[in-house]
Amino acid sequence: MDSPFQKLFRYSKVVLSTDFRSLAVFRMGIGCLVMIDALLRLRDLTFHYSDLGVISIAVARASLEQRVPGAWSLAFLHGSPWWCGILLGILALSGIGLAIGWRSKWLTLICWLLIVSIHYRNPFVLNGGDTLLRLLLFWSLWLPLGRVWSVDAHRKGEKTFHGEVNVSPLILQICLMYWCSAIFKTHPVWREHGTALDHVAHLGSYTFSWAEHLWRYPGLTKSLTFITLWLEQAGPALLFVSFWRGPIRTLLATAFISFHLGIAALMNIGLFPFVCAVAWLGLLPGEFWQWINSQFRFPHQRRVVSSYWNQPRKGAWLRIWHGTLYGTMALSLLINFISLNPERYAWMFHPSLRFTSNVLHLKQKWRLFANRPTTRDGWFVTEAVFEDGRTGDLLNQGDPVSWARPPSIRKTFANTRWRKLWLNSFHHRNPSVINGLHQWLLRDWERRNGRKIVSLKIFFVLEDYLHPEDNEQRITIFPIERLDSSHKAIFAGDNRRNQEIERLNPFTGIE
Amino acid sequence: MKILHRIGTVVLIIWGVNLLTLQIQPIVHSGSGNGGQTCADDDTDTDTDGEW
Repeated sequence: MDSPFQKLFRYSKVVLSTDFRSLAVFRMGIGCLVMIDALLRLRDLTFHYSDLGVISIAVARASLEQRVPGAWSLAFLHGSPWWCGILLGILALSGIGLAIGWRSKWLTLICWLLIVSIHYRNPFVLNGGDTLLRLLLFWSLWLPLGRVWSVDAHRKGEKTFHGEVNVSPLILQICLMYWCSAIFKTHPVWREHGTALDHVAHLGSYTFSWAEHLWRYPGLTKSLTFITLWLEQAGPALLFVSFWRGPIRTLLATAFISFHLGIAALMNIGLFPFVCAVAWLGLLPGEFWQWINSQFRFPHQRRVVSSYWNQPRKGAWLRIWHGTLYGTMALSLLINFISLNPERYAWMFHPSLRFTSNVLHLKQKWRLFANRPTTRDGWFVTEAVFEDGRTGDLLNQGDPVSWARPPSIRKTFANTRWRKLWLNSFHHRNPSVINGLHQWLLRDWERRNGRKIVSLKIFFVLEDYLHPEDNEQRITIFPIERLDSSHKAIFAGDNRRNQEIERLNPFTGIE
Repeated sequence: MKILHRIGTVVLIIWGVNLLTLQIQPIVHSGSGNGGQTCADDDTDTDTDGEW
């Protein structure tokens, strides 16, 4: 008769495992995404990652020193574009190396170090996909990514085999992301009315124009809203079913990958859907690969007798290494719990835990279109006065200023990172970003055109789906009207939000 | 009988997680001042809900 402990161990072995081949596909996907991410970032090398761009090292460091003790970055060593170019070049090559499984352990470490460096260098251009990619790389440090279908395996002369491997950190991360995202979705638009995706659909800076046809059907958006919520809540729970594991996990991975690729087809949110899809690839069950084998008649694959689960944990260093994993998993759990209500639970975050979390860059907060999707969208217009007295819009090649709605708001942003940076200035009211954008616009224009600018104003032209009466309201982003008590910008013309800030904090709101 | 038992277990797991989600929800700080959220921000320095 097995003891309850033995039963629990046997159960956890089943639900916390995946097939080596799935982990190999996961490695290939992560490697490719790292490479693509690095190459895409190279487009904005000077503007996003050098002292000639929007955020200088001094500004980034000052901002991090105040709020993120322990933050570090190799990119802080030099402010010129070529230094970050070298780092991104190494990152892209490391991604390729990881994809083919060459020195997998070391390349995972190098990729993670460089990704953390790039993320801390300019946190204002990041979205959830970047956070997830960084965390997956971190957890991968403990996973045997190169055991099969890799150059490493080939060099060791190992035949292709399959077996089970413990991927508890990967499962934990996936569950935390979806469950926290579901918990954050407290608003009736998600829980009762089912109009959340209808709100998302009207964010012109995100959705593709061809997808608008789909959004015209309220019944469809309502169904998709509830499906999204249910998938996020119930989906990861099915990972803990120990029977029918093959069909359940295959269906689960298919459902989530389709869900994320569907989102990618309807709106441009960068690499986020693809990172999520790759994470699910890592959880495909062995039965899936057996089915593939039977369909395509691949050579018989030998089953490994001693799987990763059964390896003896010998040696002090190995014990410390695994202890570190369980410690950081617990820390990750705590970070996500605190993120639900930082004002109430910040006391749990002891300075030493906070420091460790920042050094490892484990911080995460999965407010994916939650508690409700924003309805405040819009586009940016600049009004520059040149030396000769003419005025023009620097974002529109210096042409006369036009306040008309652009045919596609999404296309007014060069790419998703630029969109993030610009919208950050409005939504998060960070003075460093706003001043950085202002300075960069002046410098860039004068460098390219040689014409001096006497004064420059930056406006956000509002488009609010929830409050159409506010539409085309011109909000002055720069010059910043004043700062509130938490040193965030207050914008002239943003009446609705300014009233809300005053209402929520009448004593210390607007100074 | 075994199939019913298994289906029951799956339903119980899903129901349990949903219940847990709803139980935890009241502690969530709804955020303020920015009129909703876009897709997840890396909140290294863009946290709208206070310092932690």
